[in-house]
Amino acid sequence: MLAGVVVLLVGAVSASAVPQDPPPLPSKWTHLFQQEHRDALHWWNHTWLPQTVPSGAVVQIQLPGDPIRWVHDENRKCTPTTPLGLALPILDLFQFVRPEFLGQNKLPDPNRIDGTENIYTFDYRLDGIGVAAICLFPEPRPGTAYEISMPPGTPTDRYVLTLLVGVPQASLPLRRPHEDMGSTPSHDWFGPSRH
Amino acid sequence: MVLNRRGFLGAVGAAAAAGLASSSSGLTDLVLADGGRGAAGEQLRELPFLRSEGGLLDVGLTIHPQRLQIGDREVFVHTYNGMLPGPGLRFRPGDKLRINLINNMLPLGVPLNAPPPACAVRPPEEEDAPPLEPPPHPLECIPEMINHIAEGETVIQMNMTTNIHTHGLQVSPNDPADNIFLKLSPGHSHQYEYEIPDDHPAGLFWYHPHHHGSTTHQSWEGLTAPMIVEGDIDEVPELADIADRTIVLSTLWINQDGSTPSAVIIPTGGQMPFTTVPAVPTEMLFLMNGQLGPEIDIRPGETQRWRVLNSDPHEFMWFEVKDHELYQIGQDGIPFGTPRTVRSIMLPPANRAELVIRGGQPGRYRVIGKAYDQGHPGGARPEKELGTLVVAGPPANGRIPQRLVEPPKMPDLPVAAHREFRFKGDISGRRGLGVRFWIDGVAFDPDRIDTRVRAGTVEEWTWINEDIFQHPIHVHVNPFQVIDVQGISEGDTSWQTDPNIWWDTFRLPPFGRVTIRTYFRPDIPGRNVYPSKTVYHCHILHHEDNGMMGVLLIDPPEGRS
Repeated sequence: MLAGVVVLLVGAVSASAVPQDPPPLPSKWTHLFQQEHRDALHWWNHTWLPQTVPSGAVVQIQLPGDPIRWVHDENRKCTPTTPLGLALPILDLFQFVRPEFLGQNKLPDPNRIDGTENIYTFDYRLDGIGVAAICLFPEPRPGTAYEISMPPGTPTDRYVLTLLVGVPQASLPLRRPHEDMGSTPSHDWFGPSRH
Repeated sequence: MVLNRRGFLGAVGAAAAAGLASSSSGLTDLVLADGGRGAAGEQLRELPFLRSEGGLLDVGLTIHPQRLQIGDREVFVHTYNGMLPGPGLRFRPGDKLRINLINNMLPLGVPLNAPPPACAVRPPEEEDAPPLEPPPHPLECIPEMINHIAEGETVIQMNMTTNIHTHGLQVSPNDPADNIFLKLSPGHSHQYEYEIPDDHPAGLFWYHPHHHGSTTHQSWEGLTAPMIVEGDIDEVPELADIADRTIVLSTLWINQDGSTPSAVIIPTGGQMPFTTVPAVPTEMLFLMNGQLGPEIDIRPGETQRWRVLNSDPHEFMWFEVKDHELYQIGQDGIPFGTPRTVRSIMLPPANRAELVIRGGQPGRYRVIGKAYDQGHPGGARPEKELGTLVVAGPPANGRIPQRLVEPPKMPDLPVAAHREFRFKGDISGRRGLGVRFWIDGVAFDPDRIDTRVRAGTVEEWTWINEDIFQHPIHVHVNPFQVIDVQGISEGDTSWQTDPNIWWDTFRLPPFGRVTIRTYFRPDIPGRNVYPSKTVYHCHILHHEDNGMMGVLLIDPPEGRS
């Protein structure tokens, strides 16, 4: 597992170090997070790892709330979560990226999740290369994690989302450079059609 | 456009041999690459259909990745035979339908933002399961992880496993017919064969993948296609000679590479109703016949027949053409006795409506899916721009039919059984990664028989919704009538509750209940001799994939088992 983390982190740094010219991210291409993305939730079984986002990513966090309110507060301490439950503060090796708070909103959400009435949304922009942590704070602090739609054992003082910033957004299969749409007839992918 | 199989497949083969780029044929573009080539505002394309000959329709469907241009977006998704939607099928009652399905899927849209959540615990299969136990040592999940990989049960593997469901057809659910328990992995094929009953209703049906766990993903890739059973209603004089359009509403959910994300899906509020773990930026494209915002031409006073399917796995389409009345002539493939005049038609996922529309005054009219609160987090889903009706040209004098055909009748039999079903879900994430949906407190288990009935009997089922989500419940191979609906929200005008209408999918009001009456036909080829195993489920496919499906066993008629 540790090897995996090292590979990921080294990969993140290497990938961000390679000269790339990714297309700019339009605002509609938001990375959407909600309560299940909170760091190191109980059901990750100690295998949680932070995910990557590109530099310039717009991030929205949606959390069920009311009567518990969620608050953005830059004055409170917010530190990244160490992956895999390790004591070694491995993320301290990285530069810290400060999230830019863009705004917040609330969506109606009665009867979807027990004990909550609305969805609080918080928007951020992340620029640079390194580790970012975004914290949101429930007020008043709930007595149980259930009240903020979290699994048992989740700390009730905050929602924290740790991200590795500066890795270009990618998925498999990787795009080939200058790949030309339609230049490869579909049937060439697998040989002649069998019907 | 209707092609016979030889002509259709010949066109495909010729196009492939000649090379796509060199062809100037409109058909070639249509078949191989075009999901709406060119700018928005193009003509709604007519879908190509394969038609049965001599009582047989024998087709090959290959699912493979295809790069397509949709408006100004480039997408890279799995398709049937390179087409979006897949090739349409037309046949008649009494025909035999054969489909050779080949799975040539690849891993598309696998996010590289984080390793897959291989050791994360999923929510429990039982609603009343105890709270999560303290986690074991992470190494203890390795044998389970290996087992999942060996069984093809990781998210990435599941999303490449498929089969086919002929939605709405009254056929045998046993192999080689509408067997949705089949698991077709990449590199494999399966030969399906369906006997269409001699008295099968004439109307619009459709086919789509139905492998439990991947139906949502594959639907969001656009794997869907219409089927038309031809028959008596086509001979109604006012319908026989008018333009006959099939309109497939679908949604592509794509990442920035144009592929559908292959990851655990979880709900969100706002414009984008879902995200993934890990989170990736996405976009949803709402399409008509694979096109963004096409134009539909009609002359003033002209009547056209529209067969409209909502194949979206999640979004309700409250279909409306501005300033035009719609004359509905059938629902879910079963014709009405007389047309019903409506201003708009609600199409939850899987529903079909067959309509006649008459062109109004010259002008341009928006075709939309109206905003509607279907229970999803965040409130009403926003209005969707689907296309534009363009009324122009010399006036015509189209007629709306007054009489259609004799619809099927429910047999006058005593109700053999009354049953109740409870539908409930948990989207909180409190008990594991992802969501879970249950029927009667348990998630889908293909090896458990949940409901056992006998062919040749009439039953009444009451579906009780314990959610605010409006679950559209679909019963396979067996239509039904809705005899009672409780719980429709005040002011919600989107409901049709006439007990004479036949459905194969009907939604449950929030915290409401619906009672259906159904007749398990004893005369379906294959079903009259052997027990038939099939399913009923929520057609918000994200709910089905996460458990909201039950197994139905239909025993042969009394004296035949």
